[in-house]
Amino acid sequence: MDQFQSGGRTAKKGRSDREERRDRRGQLNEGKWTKTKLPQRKGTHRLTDPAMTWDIYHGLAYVVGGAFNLCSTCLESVVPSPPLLMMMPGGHGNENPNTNYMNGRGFWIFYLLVLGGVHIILLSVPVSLFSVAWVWTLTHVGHNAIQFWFLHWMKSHPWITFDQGSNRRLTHWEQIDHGVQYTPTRKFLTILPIMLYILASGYTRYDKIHFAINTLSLASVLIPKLPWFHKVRLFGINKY
Amino acid sequence: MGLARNVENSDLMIKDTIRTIGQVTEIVKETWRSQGDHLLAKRVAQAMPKVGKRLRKKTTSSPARNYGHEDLIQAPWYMRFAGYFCHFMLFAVGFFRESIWGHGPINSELKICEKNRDGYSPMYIGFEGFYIRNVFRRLAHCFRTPIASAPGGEVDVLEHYSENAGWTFNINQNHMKTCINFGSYNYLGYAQTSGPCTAAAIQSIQTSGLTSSSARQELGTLSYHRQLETTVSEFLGKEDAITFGMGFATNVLNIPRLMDKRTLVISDEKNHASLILGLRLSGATVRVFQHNNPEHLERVLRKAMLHGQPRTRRPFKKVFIVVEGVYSMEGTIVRLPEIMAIKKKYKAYLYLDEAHSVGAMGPNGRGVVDYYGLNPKDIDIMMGTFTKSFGSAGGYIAGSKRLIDHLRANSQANTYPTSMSAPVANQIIEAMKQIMDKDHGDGMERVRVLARNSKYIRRRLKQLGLVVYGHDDSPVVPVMLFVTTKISYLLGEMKKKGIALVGVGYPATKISHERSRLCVSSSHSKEMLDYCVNAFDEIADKMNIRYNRGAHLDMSEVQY
Repeated sequence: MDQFQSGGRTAKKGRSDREERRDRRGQLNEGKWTKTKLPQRKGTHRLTDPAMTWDIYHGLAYVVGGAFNLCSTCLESVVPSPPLLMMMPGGHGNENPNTNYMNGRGFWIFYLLVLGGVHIILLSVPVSLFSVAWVWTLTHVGHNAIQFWFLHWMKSHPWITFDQGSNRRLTHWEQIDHGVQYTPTRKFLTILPIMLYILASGYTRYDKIHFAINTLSLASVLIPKLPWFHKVRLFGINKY
Repeated sequence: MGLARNVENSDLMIKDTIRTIGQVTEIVKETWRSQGDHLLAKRVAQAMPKVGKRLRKKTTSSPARNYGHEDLIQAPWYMRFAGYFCHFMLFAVGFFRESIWGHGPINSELKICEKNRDGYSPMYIGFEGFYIRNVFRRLAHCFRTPIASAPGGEVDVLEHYSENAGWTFNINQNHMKTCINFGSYNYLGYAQTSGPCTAAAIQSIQTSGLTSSSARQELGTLSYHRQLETTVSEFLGKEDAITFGMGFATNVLNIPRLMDKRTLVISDEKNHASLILGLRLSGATVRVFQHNNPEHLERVLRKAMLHGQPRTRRPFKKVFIVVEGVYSMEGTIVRLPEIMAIKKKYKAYLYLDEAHSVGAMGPNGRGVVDYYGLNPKDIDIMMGTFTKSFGSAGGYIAGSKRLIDHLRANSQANTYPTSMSAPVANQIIEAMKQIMDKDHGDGMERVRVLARNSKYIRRRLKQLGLVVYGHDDSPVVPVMLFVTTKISYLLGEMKKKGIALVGVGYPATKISHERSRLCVSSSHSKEMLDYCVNAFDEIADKMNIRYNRGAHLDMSEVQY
């Protein structure tokens, strides 16, 4: 408000139009208004962090939770709870397990072991069509297809929650960690298809057909994971 | 074997005695715990580096959260793996089944829309009931077991069976089994059908009838209501008290009258649903602190107080700290001295919900305040229920006269519901009189027996290698199972042996932290407790629930 009342930035004491204008941080300011950079907390994304958006008019009590006590070695920062809490008699266990069961102890190892087990089973099939190259492509594409279906297509959750349907339109990926980006689980699930892709490319000797199939599959599973695609539905597909 | 070096001004080391490093470490830890002398560890560590190194190490092999007296031991990774695998199989089978046969029992028509309503939108989202249909249904026989007697130390359990794999249940009236009751909140054993309390309750029906037919603020305040309130305030050591017919409603309807949108509330992570609902209705700004962690409480409190009200950043009018005395799912006791210190330092109010601790904790049975030996005048609002320890129903709030007068006039729980019934109130009055007065009855004896029972069974279960969460003195004993499907097996086997347990799983707990919760009662005799412990011993190997192997197990004999 001050800058408008006193006639803009140029009306500051001891400065003229010709002088270089430097702001508080010593950066050159060419007369354009630059948005101040708010301090960002580690591990949270401003747009999706409920703690940084306030809404008191709905009369809800916003709750910022403590750190998860499931995998304290993974998450150092404070991760917020969802704004609405589940009402269960005898204490609230877990409002929506979809948000944090993947952070639990041993889940990543379990995931890798199941994937490895399926891969070994496929490798053991004695049909000549199942060469090493095709098995790797099959594992990679199959894993991506299943991941796409369960993480990026199926919406809502298989349990009844008391959050009045706030996750009704969200896919599993969007529900993980309540929408906070760049968490360890999300990084794990992003890196895994990439690793599989690299391994599949190697084992298929960079053949053209395998390359095409694998790349398309990887794209289908990586693009929805990008933070810019959070809650985005292209062309209204799968919105409701 | 190392020689203990001379540590100046230390009472621990007798210069002539040779002790091992391990023994010295244990002595220091014990003194640390019992006397709370944190500097002792530092001094010892400086004098004896090897002991200091051991003191810095964590107490258990698996990652544990040491909140002081309770060590929250996690399940080993292979058990988590088994848990995930169980869920994975159940989900896979469920997906397969539902894609072919749809929701509902096979060959039945369980549709999402009603009959003859073509073109209507579905009544519910079918997918969200997936867990209930496919996982919970297979465990449904564990829950909601009907009983046919008063839930005392022993209870008559009826058998309920399902003819269609868990969709619907029938009760077999003829098949009744008397089991030791570890599932009911009956801490002082007042859930009886005979005795002085019951006699007083029945007598009061003769004088006052069963109902008052009115709300408290209209024509529903009878003499026994005032008598109950004076008894409660005398019991707790507060100026005045107000009672309501329902414990849940006490929290939900009174918290909005005490806290409004200009209030800051810091509440514990594991608070009960009634507190959470009351806080939501009040519109206050709520911040959550880690369970029973006063350091985190202070950090959260400071940060929130400095931030101010949400949009305007103005200072808050009031600050509340909401905690429970004993947490029913964890069995932990609130760290009241530390929280009291924080409350006084920051001039906040304290709301203490003693649902599970009033009557059950403390040498005189007055709750956690009595347990820690603190002054009840320091706690601003003491809330509790009569359901657990007094064999009755209802809730109360106790505090200063001014507070209670405000609630009497403004509380919705006073204006709308019918007032408490005569036998319910007189049961409580008689029970409290028995506890307060040693000569009047056996109330004090019950409190003593309960304390003994809780310590005894906790130590014995821990000696078996089972993971038991919670404080050593609390009457709630959760035995961790960590895998959902183990609840079913444990409960079934225990029922065959004649022990009625309660299994708790998702959604009341986290999805990999299932437990079986024992509620100790003073109506349990030593033989009953021994029988239960032996039963656990027999099944524990088969079930593989001895998660706490060898790490500092105290195998000395437990005396009753």
